[in-house]
Amino acid sequence: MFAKKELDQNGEIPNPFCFEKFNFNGHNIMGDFDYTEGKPELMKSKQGFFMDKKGRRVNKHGWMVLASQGHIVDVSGRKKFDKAHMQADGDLHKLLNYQGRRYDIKDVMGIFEKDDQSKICPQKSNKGLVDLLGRRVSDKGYLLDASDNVIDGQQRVIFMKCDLKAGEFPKIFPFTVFNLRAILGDFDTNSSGSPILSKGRDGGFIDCQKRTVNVRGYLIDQAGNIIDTRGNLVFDKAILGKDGDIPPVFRTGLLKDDGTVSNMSDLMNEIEKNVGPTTTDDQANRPTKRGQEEGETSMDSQMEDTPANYNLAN
Amino acid sequence: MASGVDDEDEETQPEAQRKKMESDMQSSQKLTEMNQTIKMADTLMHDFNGNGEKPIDVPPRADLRTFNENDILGEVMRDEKGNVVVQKDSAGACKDKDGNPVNHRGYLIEPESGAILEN
Repeated sequence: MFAKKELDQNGEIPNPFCFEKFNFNGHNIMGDFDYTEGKPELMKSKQGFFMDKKGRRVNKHGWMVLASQGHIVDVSGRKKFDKAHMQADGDLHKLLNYQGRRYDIKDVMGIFEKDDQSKICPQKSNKGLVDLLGRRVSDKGYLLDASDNVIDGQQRVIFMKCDLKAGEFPKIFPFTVFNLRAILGDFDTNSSGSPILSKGRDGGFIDCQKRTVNVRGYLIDQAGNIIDTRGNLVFDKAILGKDGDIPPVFRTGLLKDDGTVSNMSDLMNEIEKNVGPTTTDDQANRPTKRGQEEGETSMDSQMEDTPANYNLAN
Repeated sequence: MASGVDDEDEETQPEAQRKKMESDMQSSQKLTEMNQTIKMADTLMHDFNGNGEKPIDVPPRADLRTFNENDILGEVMRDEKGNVVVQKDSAGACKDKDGNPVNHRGYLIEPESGAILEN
């Protein structure tokens, strides 16, 4: 899967896999159920185990699990989540979007009939593919608005179209580890904490090591995508803020960063403290284009954050 | 008589055959259903299988967002925080619960090259 030369000195796999390592499609790990008023009908075996209608073992949340182990598996039987990464009751942890807002994966999933191969069967309508409730969906089974942004059941944008790759959005959990230092250039900062950068021959910014960086001090390639110190692509330019900043969730202390937060409960407490429940106001503030979201999140309203802050701290 | 018996046999034989065939068909139908059930159960329990898509991409592709760390993790222990705990054998080599070589992050490795392997 990875050559030794791709690993870092700690044996970690390269970007972006090292922080996008919990990928899954919700429908591939969800059992096959009939639905009544949008609610799945779980079956029970004589022994009291939850089953889907194809006879597969599921937990009470409908996730397909390995019998006696409780790990979540996909339709191919491949383990996708260790029980240790699930909540005590067997549900998945809430995920985070790029703005640092928590959401439940089920809230962005349509509901479908599934075929014999357990593939979802979206229906066609004049507005495109729809689920059993007539909601517009992608071919991956996620709820979409008219602009193809991924939304939840209350029409709130969770991920924008430009955030998707092959129709999938990043699966960011509170236990996701992200190494910000790996994408920062080498630079000094001024009194306000902004990076002090030089101009390169082509007019772009360079750091002390003559590497190309953007105005925020992140290492970039020729196309403006953010790369790490080893040259691996980390963030596409399309998802950066208008000032070249990376999504808030990666720079506001929400994620684990090799020892900055000691354990899961601390992480969850931090998230509870920093990210309150989503309100209807969020819908009104919903961004329509990447770059307009800055200043609209609870995290952004609390802190002025630049790579320089991290550079100083380190 | 013999002829009569034969005639009677000839008359009854098709009936018997028909009944037998019906019985066989019913039995076969039940068997087929059972086989289907067994086949389905087998598929579900052992193969889980297969929506026709390849289970994982090797090498992993960032553009598809299909990589999952469980694709490369050995059968490792975890502590109460969910962190991977790797055990070492008497020679000091990292091994998973099945005795497979892993690195200290729990990823399956090929000892000779140090490459990360698919689970």
